[in-house]
Amino acid sequence: MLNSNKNVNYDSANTDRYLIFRWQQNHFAISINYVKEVMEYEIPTPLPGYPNLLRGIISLRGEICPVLDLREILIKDVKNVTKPNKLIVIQYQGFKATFDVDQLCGIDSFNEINCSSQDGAKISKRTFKTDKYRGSILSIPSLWDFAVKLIQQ
Amino acid sequence: MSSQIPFYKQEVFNDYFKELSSLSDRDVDFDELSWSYLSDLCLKVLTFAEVDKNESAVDSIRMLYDKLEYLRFADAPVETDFIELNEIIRDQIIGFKILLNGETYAFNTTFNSIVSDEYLEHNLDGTFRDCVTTSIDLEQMKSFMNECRVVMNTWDSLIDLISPGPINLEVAQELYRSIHNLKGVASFFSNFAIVYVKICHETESFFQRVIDGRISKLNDSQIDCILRIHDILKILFNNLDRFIQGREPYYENLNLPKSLASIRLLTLSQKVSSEDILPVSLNHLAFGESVRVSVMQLEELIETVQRIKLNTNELLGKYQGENNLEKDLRFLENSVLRMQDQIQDMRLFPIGLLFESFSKQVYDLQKQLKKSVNLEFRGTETKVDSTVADSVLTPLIHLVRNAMDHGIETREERQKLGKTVYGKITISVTCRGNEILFEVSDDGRGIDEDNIRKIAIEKGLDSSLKLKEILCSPGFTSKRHISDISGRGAGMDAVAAEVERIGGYLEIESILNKGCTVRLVLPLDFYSDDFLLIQSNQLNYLIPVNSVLKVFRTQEGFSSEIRNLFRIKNNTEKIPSVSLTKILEHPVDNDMVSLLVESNVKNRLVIKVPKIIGKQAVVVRPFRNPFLQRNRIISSAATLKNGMLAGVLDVDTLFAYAE
Repeated sequence: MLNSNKNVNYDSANTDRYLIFRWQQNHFAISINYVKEVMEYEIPTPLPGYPNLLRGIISLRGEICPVLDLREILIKDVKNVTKPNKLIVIQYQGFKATFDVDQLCGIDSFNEINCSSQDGAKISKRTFKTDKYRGSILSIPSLWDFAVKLIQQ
Repeated sequence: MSSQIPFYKQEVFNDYFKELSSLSDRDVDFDELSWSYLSDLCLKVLTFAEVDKNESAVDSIRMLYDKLEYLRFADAPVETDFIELNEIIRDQIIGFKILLNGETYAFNTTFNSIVSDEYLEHNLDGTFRDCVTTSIDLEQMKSFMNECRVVMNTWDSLIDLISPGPINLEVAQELYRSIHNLKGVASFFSNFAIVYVKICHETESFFQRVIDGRISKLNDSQIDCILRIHDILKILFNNLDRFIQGREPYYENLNLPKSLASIRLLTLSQKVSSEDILPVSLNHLAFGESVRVSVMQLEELIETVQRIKLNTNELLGKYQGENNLEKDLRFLENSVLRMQDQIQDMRLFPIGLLFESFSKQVYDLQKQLKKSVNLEFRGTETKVDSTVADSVLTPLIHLVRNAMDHGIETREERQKLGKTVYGKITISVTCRGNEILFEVSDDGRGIDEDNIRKIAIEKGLDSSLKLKEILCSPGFTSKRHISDISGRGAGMDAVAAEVERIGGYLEIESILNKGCTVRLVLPLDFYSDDFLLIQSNQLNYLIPVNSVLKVFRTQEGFSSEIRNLFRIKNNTEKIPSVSLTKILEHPVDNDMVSLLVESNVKNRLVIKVPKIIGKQAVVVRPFRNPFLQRNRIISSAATLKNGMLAGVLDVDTLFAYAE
């Protein structure tokens, strides 16, 4: 059950189902409303002159789609990724982007959600807890805008 | 790997010049044969001439050649007063004086040793006799031979089906396609395959007319000529094959100049009526047999294919690790992807076909307005979504009529201004990032902004409006009188409205007395074109073939390099250069090959690249995603035939790296 808190600034999607995944030892969750599909990892074609945040591009059934390395934004000490496991395809404002994860943990509703006000960033303002996992909920709109700005700088 | 291929001596070139000069001593009746003969001579000079050596000289002859070809295409009446033809060749000075329909046109230019042995690389009779040598990549030649073999197999299997009487369209289409492919590959290897390009070009023109329905029956002489083409191609291929194997070539004199002329006559032998050329609806421009499919049905088909791809992905996830099954599924995935590209390709329309209709219109307008114009097309190989092509046709017609009526001056005016008697209108299509640009430019009088503003005030328009806004205001016209061609003020207004309707915009550039350019800028989801496939650091990159002027081996092509400025052998021009590996920040590689490229504004640049794989026609998808807008070096990508992605290099952006 989602414990709603009126003082918390929720995702616009405001859903109770989340896709949980892992990067290194950190777990994260995103609203499934933004998830288009999950696919096997594909080596992207790199583009010159872009920061590490953009791994490159892949062809998603003919559509050119960026592959992002969101660890660059969300993990403090990024270790070399030996073998990314899956690509999560998200869609926002009519555009698609993908990012790779170390492990996909599943889709779940949360027993407990807290607002972590000490985190100044809007991207991961809330935390979640299930029987198996505990981690941060990512706001896709905030994360999207932040990543676009970083890339276009 | 490299080998020696023989090239011709300068005497061959000189022979053609002598032949041109001897024409002045003869009476030339301009029947079809002499028309074709003169056109052929120009073609030979152009074949032997090297553009970099003396551009203006070659341009003059090309202008004459284009004029002859254009008039032939437009089925212009060859009037009997087209009788005076003089070529003066003294001390390498050549000039043409032509009296055409009562007007004299002169093409005078200087040929200061336009050719040297190094440029006489062509072998017009296919026998490799009396030759000098230069080196060429044997691997490249082998890949060209492979393409030749495919074409020969097609011709061998179909040639028996050609017989006098009604034409089997399927056979004609197959022969056309194969010869078109061969021409494409041959033009890439132009240094040793130019003769194939010429033969293919003439043959292609003939079959194009067959497919268009302009020639519906074959007579005995046409059959003979097609069989002759088959024989010539066979001998040429066999000779190349024998050459590669180090064996003596066959010494049959093919008399190619005569054969080329007869192929051209083959095309001329059934005349085209103006009604056959005029229709400009896209429906009339489609080739051969076709079925009409709505865009919606195609979209549905694409969706179905996407669903199959999704299901395949799910199966791949399920059976990951099961080697055989996974391999089969990967194969299925690739096939589905190719199928999707093929369906999308069905929606693409070659712009060249759209442009064809303009030649006749401009010819008619020339007569009506008593103006003389050379019409040029650029980017004709590009294929765009048929809905885009359909939308731009009417605006382009407006712009061409405006250029003819408002832009280009009369012959007398041009002479007074010191301009060439012939005006020039260029219709071009280029891609810029995720936009496609249709451009109509002329070298006429340009837009007199002061006059336009004065008229705007008279008509009660807001004088603070921008020039473009005034020109596109409903009902605005700078003409005092309405004519058949313009003056109603509905032209630019309609152009702007149509372009805005499909999400585009207009750009207008003008210099008084120099000319005017109007650009239709449209958003683009995808388009198709021919590209050179380049590899660097095991990654694939594409560069549009139409921007590449020359391909050199870096070591052989240049005589000097000082501070990234290259001087191409036998050319005084210093051209800036860039290294692709450096721009892409790849580990230092040996840039073996160099490309001489030209930007939209005619600037030249040498791009050094590690490796060229070949030529490919691909469907390009410009980047629209906000994550892919950081720079413009690569602003679109395409899926190659092997399923891999390749970034498309933006030539204009590469220029910035040279500065």
